[in-house]
Amino acid sequence: MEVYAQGIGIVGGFGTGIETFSKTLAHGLSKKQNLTVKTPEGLRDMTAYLADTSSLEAFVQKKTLRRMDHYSRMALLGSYLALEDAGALDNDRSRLGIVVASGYGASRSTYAFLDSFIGGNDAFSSPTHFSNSVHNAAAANISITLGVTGPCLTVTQFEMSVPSALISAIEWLKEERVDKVLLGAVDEYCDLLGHCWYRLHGYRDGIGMDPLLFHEQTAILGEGAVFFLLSHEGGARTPYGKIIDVNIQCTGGFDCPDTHQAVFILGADGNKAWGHRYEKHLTEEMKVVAYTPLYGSFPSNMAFDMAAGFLSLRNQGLFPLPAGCSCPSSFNVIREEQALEVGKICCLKLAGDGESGIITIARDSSSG
Amino acid sequence: MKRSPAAITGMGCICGAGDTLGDCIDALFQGSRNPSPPSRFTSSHGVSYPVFEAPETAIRPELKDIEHISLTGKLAITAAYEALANAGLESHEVKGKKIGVCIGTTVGSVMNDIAFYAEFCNGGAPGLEAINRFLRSNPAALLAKEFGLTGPCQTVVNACSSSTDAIGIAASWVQSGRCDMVIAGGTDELSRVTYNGFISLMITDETPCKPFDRDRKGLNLGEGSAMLILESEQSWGCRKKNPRAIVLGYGSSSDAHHLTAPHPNGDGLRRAISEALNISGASPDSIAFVNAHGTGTPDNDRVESKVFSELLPGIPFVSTKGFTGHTLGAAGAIEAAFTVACLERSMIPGSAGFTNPDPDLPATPVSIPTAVKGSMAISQSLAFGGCNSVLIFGNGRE
Repeated sequence: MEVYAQGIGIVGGFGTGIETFSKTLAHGLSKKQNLTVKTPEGLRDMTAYLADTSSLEAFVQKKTLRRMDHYSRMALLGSYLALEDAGALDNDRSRLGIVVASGYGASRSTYAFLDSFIGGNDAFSSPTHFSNSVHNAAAANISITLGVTGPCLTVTQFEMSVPSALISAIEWLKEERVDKVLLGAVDEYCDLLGHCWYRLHGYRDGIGMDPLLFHEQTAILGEGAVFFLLSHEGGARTPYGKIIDVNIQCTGGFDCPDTHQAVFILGADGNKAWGHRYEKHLTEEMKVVAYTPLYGSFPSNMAFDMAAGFLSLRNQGLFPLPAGCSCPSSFNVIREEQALEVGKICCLKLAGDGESGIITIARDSSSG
Repeated sequence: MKRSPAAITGMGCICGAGDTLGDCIDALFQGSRNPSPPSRFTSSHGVSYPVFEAPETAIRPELKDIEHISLTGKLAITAAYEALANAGLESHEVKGKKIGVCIGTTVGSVMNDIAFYAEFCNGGAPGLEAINRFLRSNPAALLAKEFGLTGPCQTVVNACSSSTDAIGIAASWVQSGRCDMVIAGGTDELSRVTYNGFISLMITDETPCKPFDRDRKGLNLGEGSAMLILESEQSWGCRKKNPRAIVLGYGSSSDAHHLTAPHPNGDGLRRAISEALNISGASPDSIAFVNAHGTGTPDNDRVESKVFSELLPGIPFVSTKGFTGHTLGAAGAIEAAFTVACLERSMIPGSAGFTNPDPDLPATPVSIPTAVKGSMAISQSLAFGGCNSVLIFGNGRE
């Protein structure tokens, strides 16, 4: 059985919606926001790709959102947009499953909960923040708001969260446990993350993300959510294509697919700690590109790579490496917009300690 | 589609009930339990709510002084070694194999080191050990690295049903042929964060918990880990290792109702049980017993009792949380291991803390060790977010 993407909902620093994302990929430029980070040297201005969820009010009443945190709002917006994109907003949801991937979970609510009792009295602990801080709060809020009564799963595997979650979504469809799955990824920025990021990686003013400069630390933090409505039904409803394989390893192994038959969207996001692994595994004949400078660095950003891949399949054209990025001559990099001449796109993410994830997608030949 | 069953060939457990699964089962049938005030953290609540701490002395000696692995991770590794040994496997025999890891947790997924965060809030530069520990203690990745495994890796964070789901997912990996063996289970440590969280929700009992009892006031928190070795028939057949049990069915559904409270009619739980029964091909009257979620909170126990009375009438059930506390992400795995061990004995322990039947509950648990008939048993979990997850195990002898 094959698994098809029927709709995509996306929100990130670049804006909201799959067509906005498509334009961002085509133009190769995205928006960053300014923020202030607490560092050991004092407050410091930095930039990050931050998401705005105000368009969620087009789908959900304000009072429903009153107690919902930013993390859940991003996920809920992604879910609504995916259903809308698939023309499935009004469909029955009793045989719909939810699978959410997140590297860090509901960070802001986690620390808001700590704020409620640190330095004061444990009796002041906030039940609202505690409820929202649980990792599966986003999936729960999607389930409650959309009335999804099928199975609901949240997975956290840091950089490997997305391929790990996708494995379960595919198994559910294969088992016919559900008819469709809302598979999504969500991660959010928070002050503590900015602080830790600064101390672990430093920050250089005015430097843009340069994902193919594997030995340089150029990553910029991001946040966002992207959801896919997955189904085992192909045909006219699947303009984006299908998922044909998912692999994840945590201990150093890496089974590279046939490099001649695929384009590789790299999850390289300016983290030099594992940049060298791309350099080690990439070969000259591999056709590669990376879009992370358009949405930033965060654990579940591989789902954004996947969305970019699906758009390429839909458009039958590859988006170029974002503007201003270095193009090492040793690799066959997609520098300009070009027709998609191969049948498959592999989203490849390599991370620390030998972790690797590959999601292979292809056009659905039956969709015309 | 015909799918080959996933067998359980080994189990390990460490929690407030004991150092090993054998110790835990002995404690359950002896009716002994030892809740006490938390020893690793203090709180400013006026009342010291009892918890069930895992015996740190039972953690593998080589792990004790390692600072970059969380207690949650150490509990997982300890239980996994026991499970592998119980399955007749030594660590060198699994190294480099395409063996999956699927682990449930809650605390193990969150960077909530209070000391680190407090120093950050005060403008300091706290040491990054806490961050490194968090980044290196993802339970599934930790076990994959500990044993050098190359199969799929997944940490499930479905709150209190995490490890019930992890076992169900692991079984599906075996059944679909994604891998021939999976280490599946759950792990969680006690934390002042969850301690305060559950107290803030006013669902914590200030005395030892009393699941399904008329006077129940809430849960006690616990900690621990349980690991199960799931294997395909081809794998255990080649090793000439008899299964202890078979995972016959897994059902999961959402209430779509409330972030922290179960659906009052138990609709989601009903669907999850029905799905698991349907997949396993079992009829309700073929179930020997149920290991309930049985937290001791008024809402949870009311919903479970109602669903048992309607869907599984007359089937004996037990809550083992009176012996372990609520171990959150580890609970489903610990209770799955207990369920299999009880199925092997054809006997279930009494529900610790259950003394006075609640006239509002249509079904009540066993209060003393009770012989059970049948070759199948249910272990189930209900979770924040409205997740309901149900596993059906079959006796490995049949």
